[in-house]
Amino acid sequence: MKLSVLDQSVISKNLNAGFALQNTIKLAKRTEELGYTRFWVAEHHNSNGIAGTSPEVLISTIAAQTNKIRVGSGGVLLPQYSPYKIAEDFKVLEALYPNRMDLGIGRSPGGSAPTRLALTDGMRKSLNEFPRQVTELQEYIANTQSNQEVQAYPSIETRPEIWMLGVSQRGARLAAEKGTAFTYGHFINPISGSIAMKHYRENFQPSSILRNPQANVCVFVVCAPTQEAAEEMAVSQDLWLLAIEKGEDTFILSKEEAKGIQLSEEDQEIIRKNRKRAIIGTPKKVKDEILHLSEVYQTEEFMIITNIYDFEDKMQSYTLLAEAIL
Amino acid sequence: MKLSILDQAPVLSGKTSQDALIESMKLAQCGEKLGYTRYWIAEHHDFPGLASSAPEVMLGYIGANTEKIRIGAGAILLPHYKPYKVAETFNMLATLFPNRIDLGIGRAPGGSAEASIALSGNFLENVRNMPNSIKELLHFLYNNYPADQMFSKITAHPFPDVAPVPWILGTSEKSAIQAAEHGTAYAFGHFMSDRDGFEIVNTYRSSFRQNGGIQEPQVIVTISIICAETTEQAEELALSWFLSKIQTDKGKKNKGIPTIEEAKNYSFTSEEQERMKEMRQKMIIGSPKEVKKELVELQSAYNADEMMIVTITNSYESRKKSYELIAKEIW
Repeated sequence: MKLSVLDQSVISKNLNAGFALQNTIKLAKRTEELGYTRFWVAEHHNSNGIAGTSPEVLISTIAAQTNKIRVGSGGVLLPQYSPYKIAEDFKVLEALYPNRMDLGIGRSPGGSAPTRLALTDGMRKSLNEFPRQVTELQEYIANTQSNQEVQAYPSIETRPEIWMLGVSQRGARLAAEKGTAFTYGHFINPISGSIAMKHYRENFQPSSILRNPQANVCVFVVCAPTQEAAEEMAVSQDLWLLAIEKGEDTFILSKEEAKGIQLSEEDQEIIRKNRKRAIIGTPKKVKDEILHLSEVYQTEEFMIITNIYDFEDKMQSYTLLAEAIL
Repeated sequence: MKLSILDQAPVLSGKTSQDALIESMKLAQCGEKLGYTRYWIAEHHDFPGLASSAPEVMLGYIGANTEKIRIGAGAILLPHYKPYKVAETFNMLATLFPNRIDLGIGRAPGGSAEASIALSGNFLENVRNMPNSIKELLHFLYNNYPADQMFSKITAHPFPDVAPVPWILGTSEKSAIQAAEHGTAYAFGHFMSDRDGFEIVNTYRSSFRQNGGIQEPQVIVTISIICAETTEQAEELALSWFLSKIQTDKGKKNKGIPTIEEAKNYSFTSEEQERMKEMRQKMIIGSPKEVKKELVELQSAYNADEMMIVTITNSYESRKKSYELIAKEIW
């Protein structure tokens, strides 16, 4: 079994973005020591509790301070950008850190409607262009573009891996058709993922970059020595997810503050539903559930995201998990 | 005199792009040790001979490998990008490397017409819209969008304690006026301009309006220098640089700066010799003493706050040596 990390550089309440980014770097160094395979950083815009807006920059800084863990984006939100520019970014990265770069791409618009307009500077970009953009990106990365007039430099010997991020059959279908690796976001949509994954494996078309299907599944985990401790930490994550859904402040609350918050019946229902996106518990419980998911999804690699308040608790969660599984 | 470095990440003959990018980082470290104020890295597209296509990515790497030297883009070619994304990227750099980030803004395409289309579609339209893009970018950097505007509720996260410092880069009166009107610092590219630079810089100073950023006008003049122990050595290095420029001008996608040997064996046509003369006028080539004399003269003629030096030679060692000799002679 392989474990990897997805980190969104969330900001704990009363701390700042600088602190969050430094913690991301620290987490990468320590999970590298623990034997994690990949460390991906996300792209979110205009969210006051999330510091991770520009994966291409953060990847560069993280890779400079680690040695062997693969580093990547989870993901670059391709619809907002030029595939050519993204190819350049990741070729510079791959030149600096050969055989260590993962270029994860997503189709999500990356924020609210005004945020999207700001990202595209007022232009309304169609998500329908996504499949074409993926093809162009692959071609610029592999230097097989039909338009030979333009190439993405620097020219490099190795290539970043391309991963399609998806939460539905549509994502799986596109990943299969384009011959990219596939990450299924169980942490976003815990329903029907096994069908998407099966579709991906059965319909995979080899590409110049990837011969055989390669897939992993991303899941929220909060792991602690006891079930009670894990449950207590997870309340911060519950409320964070709730705030995202309701478009409120997205800072992570401390256990103490989270516990004191009164929730409506409706909010409690949302939290109960969201719990399906997460595994919360002791190392044994988390291990059992991951093994179960491994059967369901037929994958040997899990990408772990843990959005809780205290960095040491978070580190402990990743450590216990590694000890139980790797 | 304050000195800084502009790096174009040249790919050298027989070496790889990866070598070039690693040497960029080493040059920044070397500049930091020598006492240079800033290190800026350029943006070029579809240029096999210049390896830096993504300055923002390079800065994440260089920042992690240096301690205190200011680092920046020279420049981000704004017409290719969206102001909000550029603000996010540089805010992230300014959060990772507090009080060290400069955001140079340029309006050149930085590569072929085809590359411009691949990057941003209608490049000329974007250039026309440049004043507006700069305005937007500054609002995002200063986080001061007027409340009645569409983007007033949007923040370019992560928001740093100290904002990246915007510089407008240019080679003509147009850029000087833009910098003055937007109230940003101004970096004049003496090495790329065929205009009367003194007048352009004066225009900037006299029209400067404070506008949410720096209080007083601030000027960097960027100059191309090749300095070596002796005049002769410097001339040899310059010859290989001239040849590389001539090859690039011809549209030949050269795969690296030629060696001195190659340059010496090349027979320059009379037209090419003319071209070399032109290039030479915009450069300083010589021994440390000669370079110092000309550099000091230029700095005082421009009344520049700081001189930024771009040096391309056919080996990393001679390039580094040039910066070392200048530092030793000036300070």
